Amino acid sequence: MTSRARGTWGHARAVALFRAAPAFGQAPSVVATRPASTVPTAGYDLDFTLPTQSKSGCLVCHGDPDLVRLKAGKITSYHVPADQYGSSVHGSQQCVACHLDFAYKLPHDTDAAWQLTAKTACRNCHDEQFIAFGKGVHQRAVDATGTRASIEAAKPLCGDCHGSHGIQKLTDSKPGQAAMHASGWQVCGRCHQDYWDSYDDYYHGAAYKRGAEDAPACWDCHGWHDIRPSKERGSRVSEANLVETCGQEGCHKRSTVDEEFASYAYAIHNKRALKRENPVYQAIRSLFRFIWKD
Amino acid sequence: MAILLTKVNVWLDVIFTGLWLVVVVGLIGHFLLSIPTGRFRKKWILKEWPKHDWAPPALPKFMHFQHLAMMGLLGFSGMYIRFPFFDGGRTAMRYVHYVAMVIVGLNYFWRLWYAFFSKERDYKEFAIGKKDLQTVLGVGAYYAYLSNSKPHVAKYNVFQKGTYDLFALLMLVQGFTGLSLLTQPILFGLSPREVLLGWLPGSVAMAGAWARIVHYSVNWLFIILVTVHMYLAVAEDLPCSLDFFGLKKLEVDPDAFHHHDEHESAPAGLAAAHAEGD
Repeated sequence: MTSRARGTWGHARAVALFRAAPAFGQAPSVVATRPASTVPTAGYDLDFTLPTQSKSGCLVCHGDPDLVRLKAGKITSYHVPADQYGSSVHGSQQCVACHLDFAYKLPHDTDAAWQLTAKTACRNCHDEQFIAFGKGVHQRAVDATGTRASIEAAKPLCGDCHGSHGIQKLTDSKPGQAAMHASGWQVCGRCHQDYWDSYDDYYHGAAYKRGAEDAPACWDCHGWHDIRPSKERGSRVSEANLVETCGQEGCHKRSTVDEEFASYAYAIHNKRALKRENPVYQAIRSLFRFIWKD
Repeated sequence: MAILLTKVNVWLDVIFTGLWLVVVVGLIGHFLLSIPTGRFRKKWILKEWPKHDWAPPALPKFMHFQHLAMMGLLGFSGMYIRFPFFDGGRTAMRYVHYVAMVIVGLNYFWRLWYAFFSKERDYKEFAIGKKDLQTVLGVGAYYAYLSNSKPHVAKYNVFQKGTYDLFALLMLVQGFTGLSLLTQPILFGLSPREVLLGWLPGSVAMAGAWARIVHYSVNWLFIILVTVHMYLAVAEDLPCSLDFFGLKKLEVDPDAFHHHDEHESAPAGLAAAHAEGD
């Protein structure tokens, strides 16, 4: 099915991924710092064309940890940690390389498309990944309406999974790869909570959640940009492709794996359920509950 | 089949954990029963522990301690590999498992050499003969508090011999199944798993999965047997246990068993551990 190997980071995947950092996720984030003024700020005069590393331009304001605004009843931070961005793989890029719709006025983000633009700006450089993303289940149907529209709108954009200002280099970067590997909850789990919870078998899920470097992250089995629903034949975890997926380089040796073995994958998200269904386990649990209550 | 494999894994967790808890509760009950039967008073208050006519030699004690430490590490690291109970330990625990495996393996062969080829060879102490088999009911009755005397025909009673012999056998099984879990191509491009299990029908990975099940089950047998062994070592003969770990020298009485008719048939030179009560 695929020759992409866990642990080998092709250039295609190399630069668009992120570090699991506190600032991960959608920016701006919500913080509780201090009450913000509700008085609109007047226009200002700054040169936004300057490179960001010099802490001039955008970072004159956004480098300030106290840059907050009252938005929708919440204090919202607009701080961009300069050192974090500077050490990211995009640290040499100017802010407007991703914030394409930046305007010389305040506030910049009144336009609803602000985040959408920023979170999909990746496609301007990472076209291969964006094309693959278009084939996957997370691609939004742009012409959806009604209930479907809200479902489509909930689908993640590049930045929702990869983060924003702290994206780390992966190619030839063990720290970057390790951080990426450890970010299963931030990338997938926070949306797919039930699958995250059930990912609890002995040598895959339980080990992964305890930081095992060689235990697979979600995407090592399910794939990434062109990820398909598991019930579809094209999915890496569909029955038809399990042997290839389990036997990929860095996992089980391909020549030793057959369909019978690969069907053990059932346990990966079902061990908890199997345990709960086990009559002896139920009996012991009931006994302990009985003793504990009395 | 693989779903069966999955269910078997869950069943093993449940059954062995439950069984171990039953054993622990049973041993606590057994110890409590020693109070009304008078054994507690005799041993722990009047200090009437079993007599010995020969102290355990230093080398077997050293090997026993080394074996104990390594088996403890193997059990701990093995359980961690299956049930990771703290963060970031898988790689470290695997190395601990490998190192302990090598030491316990070397120790195993050293003990075999000692038992069969050394000057002090003691393999006969572990052999179960007709006389031992005749004592099964009597020894069982003693442990079950149905009798106050324990038949004594050798250094170890028939249950001890059976358990120690079973240990040696299970260690072989554990060594074979443990090596067959190694999937690194370290043997001319082949892994120990492929070499050891490649001849079986079906996929090697599937055979490895079943080998892991056996390995895990035997691990639990060790845990249960060692739990009973530790309890009996302390409850039945604390002074000997203390001597085994170098904490207190065992008092030796060379004529310990010449005053008791039932020990007359004990082989000369054996460190006969005698359960008092007769």
